Amino acid sequence: MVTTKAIFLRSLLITIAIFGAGLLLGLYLDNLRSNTIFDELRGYEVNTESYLVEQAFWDEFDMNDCSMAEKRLNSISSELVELGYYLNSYETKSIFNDNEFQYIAQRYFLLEIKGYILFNQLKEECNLQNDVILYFYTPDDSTSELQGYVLDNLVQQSNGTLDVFSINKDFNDPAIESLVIYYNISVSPTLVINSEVIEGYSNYPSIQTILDETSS
Amino acid sequence: MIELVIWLVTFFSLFIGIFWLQVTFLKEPERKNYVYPPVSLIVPCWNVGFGVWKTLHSIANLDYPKDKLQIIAVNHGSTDNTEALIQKFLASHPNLNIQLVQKSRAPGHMKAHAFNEGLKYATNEYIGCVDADTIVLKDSLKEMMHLFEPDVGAVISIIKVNQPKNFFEKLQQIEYVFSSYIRLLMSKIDTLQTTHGALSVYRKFLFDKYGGFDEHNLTEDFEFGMRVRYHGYKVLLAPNSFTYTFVPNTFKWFWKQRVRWYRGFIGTTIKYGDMAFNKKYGALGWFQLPLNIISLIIVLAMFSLMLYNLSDQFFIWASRFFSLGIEYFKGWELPNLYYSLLNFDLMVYFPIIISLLACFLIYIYAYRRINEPWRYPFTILIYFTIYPLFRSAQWVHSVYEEITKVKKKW
Repeated sequence: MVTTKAIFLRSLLITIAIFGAGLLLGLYLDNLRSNTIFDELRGYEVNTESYLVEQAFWDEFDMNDCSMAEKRLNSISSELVELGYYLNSYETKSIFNDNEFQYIAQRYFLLEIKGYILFNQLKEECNLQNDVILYFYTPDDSTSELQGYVLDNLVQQSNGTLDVFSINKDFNDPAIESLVIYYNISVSPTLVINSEVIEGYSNYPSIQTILDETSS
Repeated sequence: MIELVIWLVTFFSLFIGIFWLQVTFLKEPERKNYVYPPVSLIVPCWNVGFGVWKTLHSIANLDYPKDKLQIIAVNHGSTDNTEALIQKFLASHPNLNIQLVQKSRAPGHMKAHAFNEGLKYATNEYIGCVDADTIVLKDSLKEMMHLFEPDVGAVISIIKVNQPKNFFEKLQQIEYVFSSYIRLLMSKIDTLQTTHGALSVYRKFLFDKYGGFDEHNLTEDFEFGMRVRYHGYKVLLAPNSFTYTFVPNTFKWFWKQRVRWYRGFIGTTIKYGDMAFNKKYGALGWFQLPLNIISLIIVLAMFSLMLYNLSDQFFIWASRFFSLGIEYFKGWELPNLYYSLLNFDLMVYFPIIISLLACFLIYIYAYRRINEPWRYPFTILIYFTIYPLFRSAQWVHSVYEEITKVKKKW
């Protein structure tokens, strides 16, 4: 005769085993996430390097092709936006790979800064009409999340004429700290729209107005 | 904090699902030879109209020796044709030992008053309570009586919903299948403490010794079941005894009935609070009663969590909509499928999926054992998705009424 106590204990053990399996699956998925993001990031890094080499080559022979360069840089930056979104989401779910995600995030932000610099250079050299926004945010901040959502929509509606580079303003990295000091960032969200610093949340129409005013 | 609550609730739900799933595979009590001790069936009636005719007719058709049956119909101050119908039934069944008892209905009187009045006229060793909106099946009583061992104080039947027509009745039909099956499982491990009004049979000496139904309790039958357990007697469910009941067919009636039941549950649980964690009561004390209390806490926690989540999502949606205006509708894009799949939080969802699976399996066994066909796919969908929130709201309402001491009434 099976007693209720035996059923109780067996159920407890099975429940713990299922939770353990969930934990293992979660760990596996966690690794898969970091590997996927890491691989993607490496691809973008190589792309950026390739772009730089290509530019150096054209400079050497005084044959710079602005439209080609713009296309390449646009493609790198738009893919980075999507990657940044998932990196942020995966980071909040990670329990075991915190350090790894911190490392990936650091490389991601450095790539963003690099992209921002390259874009500004290209804008100057080729007299591009494109707009560029540097977006400083704080993770787990609802206002920053809303700002990110508004920016995503703006990028989608811009047909490739707007590029957004997002940076976690509190991230511990000398390059980010330099940017924060340079633009005197104290609150989040803060937007640097074509070099004009706008503190606090900005809604869709107000960003559009500023873009119209500051467009080169 | 929220994640911790979700984990705890998931752990608890999974554990309970696996527990009952294991009980499913325990053997049911074997059917012994039928015995036919004398039984008095009390039918409290209050404005039930033609329902009482159907109930009495089904009792008259019971496969049980007529000389062993005493039927007591208590007219509890009905203002409709209930009394006339009972009189007519009496006249048309002269061979039955049936009597009509009149009980005036004072303000605040509940079913317990009518039942207790009927008790005064009961002469047999066993007392059955049959609600006047119930149809008992031919074999129901004899399937119950052979389970009365010396340590058994009460035996209950399985309730099914009689011909569900509208959405609310169908919803309750699904719920009754599940609750009856869980009672069957509880009966298997001797943790059943519920008796109900559809058809429950008690030993008369329990009423003589410990008093009749509690006239101040909203669920007097549930309270008496607990009292039976409190005094050391078992409550069993007869797995082959079926009764059909009519259920509320309007939202308001349904809501009112559930709030009354849940308030009765809360009141009775508090009244017999010392039975919880009490070794004297075996699995009922260390498992079932704490489980009932924890379940109530979980329901309240889940309700708060769902409300928080809904309001949070609404706030996000509203703030996005108000900041984007018409552009909000232009910005939708399908997310990257691979990245979205990776975003799936398996550590939380894996146990949730398994517990839902366990729950679903129990439902399959329930339908099979209670012998109900799978019907009403739309209602089943609602039952598993929206109804838990609805039910939680009923619990919150009941807790609120208990705390604020809203006057108890039927």
